[in-house]
Amino acid sequence: MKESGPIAFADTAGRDNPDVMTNPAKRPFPTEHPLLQDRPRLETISDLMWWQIQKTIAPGHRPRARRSSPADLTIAGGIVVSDVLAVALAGLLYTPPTQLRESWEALATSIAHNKAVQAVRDNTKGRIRAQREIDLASLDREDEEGTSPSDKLVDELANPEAEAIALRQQLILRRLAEEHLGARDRDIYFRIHHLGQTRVEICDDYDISPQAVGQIYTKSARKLHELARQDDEFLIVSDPDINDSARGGNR
Amino acid sequence: MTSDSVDEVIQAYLDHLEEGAPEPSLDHLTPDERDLAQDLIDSLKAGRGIDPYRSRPSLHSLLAETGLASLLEDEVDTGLTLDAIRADVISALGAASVPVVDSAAEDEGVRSNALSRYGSLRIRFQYRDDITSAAELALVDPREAVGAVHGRFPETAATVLVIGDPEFSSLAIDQYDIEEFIGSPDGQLHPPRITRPVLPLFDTLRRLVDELAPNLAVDETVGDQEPIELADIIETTCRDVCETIVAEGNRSRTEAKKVEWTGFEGDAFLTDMAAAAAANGLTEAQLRDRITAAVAA
Repeated sequence: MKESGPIAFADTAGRDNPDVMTNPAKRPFPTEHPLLQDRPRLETISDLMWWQIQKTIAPGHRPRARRSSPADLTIAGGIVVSDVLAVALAGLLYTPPTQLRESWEALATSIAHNKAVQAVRDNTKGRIRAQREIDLASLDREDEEGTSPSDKLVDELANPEAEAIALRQQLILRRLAEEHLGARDRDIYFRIHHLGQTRVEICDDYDISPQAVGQIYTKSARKLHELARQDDEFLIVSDPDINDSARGGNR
Repeated sequence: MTSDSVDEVIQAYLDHLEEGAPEPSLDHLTPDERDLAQDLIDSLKAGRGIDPYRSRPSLHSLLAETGLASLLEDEVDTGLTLDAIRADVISALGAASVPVVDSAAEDEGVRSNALSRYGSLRIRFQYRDDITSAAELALVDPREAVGAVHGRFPETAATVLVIGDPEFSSLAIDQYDIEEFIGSPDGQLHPPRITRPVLPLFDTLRRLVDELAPNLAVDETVGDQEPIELADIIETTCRDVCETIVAEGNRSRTEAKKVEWTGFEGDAFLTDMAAAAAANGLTEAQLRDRITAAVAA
């Protein structure tokens, strides 16, 4: 999927526009929200939402890391990921604990996905993907396959709990990579695993063959797999039963 | 378990992702190998589309307009470290610009905590745990802050002051910011001043390298250039040189020069020699031989 050119920022978030309130003034935030009392958990949940929004906005798309552009993570129709995150986080903190049907992590992942889908649809309405980063975007709604980018998005996550667990595992793998991989191996791992860069694209940066890049990635991925199996946090996250009991019933 | 079979499956799966090759089968693997390969493939799928180098905005900034930021417990500031700034530096400057401890400055007793390279630029980092807010950072005296750094290490392109707030508020100071400057339009000498805004570390670095080393490359220009014929250029240039020598000879008042230069016919000799040099087929010894032979002739 190609990225589209910048499109005027519409109404995805009120954070940059003081005239548009993110939430109605008459509906106050629950100040006794349990997540506000549990800062580490709220930080982790925010990380999950941050990553989930990136994944939803750009499925299969390569983030613009380490390119010359100073732009923020602006993907698919001029959407700024941090703005979508602000809206999603506010949505999460509006949810009273009494309405919680699953874990906060699963709910957060689900909200993040839904807000990202909404942002993409609002910002790509009537447009097709541009062919280049700077390009004229046709106002024809359909592409050659008869669909627009937003049509391809999944309305709701089929299993938010599983998605939240998978994202938390990725967070832990990132930590393990930072702790246990050397600079070159870690960069190769991140660029293939997360950024979706090809082995040919990476090999010139390190003056090695594409085959060697692939071998380094495989070796790193297996090493992290082994380390994760010995990591208490990873084991707790991966086993929902342990996960629940560790929280002492506080979903 | 043979590691090669799982490795091969992962390599084949990368081929599938990168080149559209068929998705590899796991049928030939043993149950243990199959579980491992499936775990690695699932992890690869789950990790796609995420930028691990980009740090998330702080909760305080995300909740700034909701009024909830004040309810959050203050973060414990444990002091800035290389690990803390690494992600933002790599994200802004690239993987080749991994920051390292500035041991040279440590040895000299100069206040610079980390060093990063961007191309030929050396950017130093100064952790300012003594400054608690972005507003306070904007009021630092640039000469007092980094004068010693740039004095001892004049090759430093800029020094970035970083504070430990959630955004890593930062300020870039280059070697000219620590000098007095002549104001316009008053023409008076003014003390050093801050010339750049206080921004999050990522934005400070991007703005700095865009200013110091702008990327002027333009894509897809190679095909627009007109092809050149080197042989024609050599022939034309050598002919012009010979004509210039003859013209100089005609204008000369020295009799010997008038005779020798006006009769100069080295066109073919020069063309042949330049063509050989352009084809990398002319060593210094060969050049000397050719000149000697031409003089003798």
